[in-house]
Amino acid sequence: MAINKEAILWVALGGALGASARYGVTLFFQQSGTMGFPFEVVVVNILGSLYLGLVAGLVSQGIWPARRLWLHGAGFAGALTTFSTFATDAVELMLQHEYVHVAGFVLTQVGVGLVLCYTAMRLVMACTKGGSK
Amino acid sequence: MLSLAAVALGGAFGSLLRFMFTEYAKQRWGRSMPATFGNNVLGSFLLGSALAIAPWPAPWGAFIQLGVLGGFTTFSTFILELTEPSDVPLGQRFVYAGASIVACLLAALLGLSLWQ
Repeated sequence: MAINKEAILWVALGGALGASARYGVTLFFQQSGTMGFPFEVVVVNILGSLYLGLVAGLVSQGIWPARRLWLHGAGFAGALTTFSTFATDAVELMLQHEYVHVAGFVLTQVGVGLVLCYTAMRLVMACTKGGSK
Repeated sequence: MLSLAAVALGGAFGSLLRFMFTEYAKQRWGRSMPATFGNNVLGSFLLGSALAIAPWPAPWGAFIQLGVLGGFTTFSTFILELTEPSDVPLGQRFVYAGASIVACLLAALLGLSLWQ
């Protein structure tokens, strides 16, 4: 799909909402104490991957029009999740020689993210098979 | 409240930049992976740099770090590119996953150490 005015507005709105939601999760974990482990990144990245799997499933089945990807995919899920904080948090754990934490931090997000994204996408596809094209 | 506005505005801006690179890659190469990889590596380097030269004056840290760079990089698209049905073979997906993680961690480390 080409970049047009409508796409720009939806992606910007979704990006603002996604980044705000991530900020909210970050503040929550800062207040409740994290014992030095960046749980907030794990939470947003796993939830965002699950959400994008749902969205991708709905769009691939034609239940949602492809332009909903602007708000929900590129916008909200894209901004809710983050790779930059994932990378800097992993490096900071590494510099503190918390190697087990680094492995847990990286593998949990990639592993659980993959499984939930795939499962959500496949569930939507299975539940809507033969339904609307 | 000012921080939230800064994060939201930065998130909108960063997401738009990412979207433009992604759409360009889709048109040019028929897939989004090259853009997602580049965005994530660049964003990780810039966040490392931003943290190294911190503290930033009041709303600017939230705007740059949580807003622009958080919105510019993405984990969900990275995961979807690995899982969605496409013509990308399984082996290439593993290489893409490993390369993304290693390159982004190295880029973040470079950013964090370059300015100190």
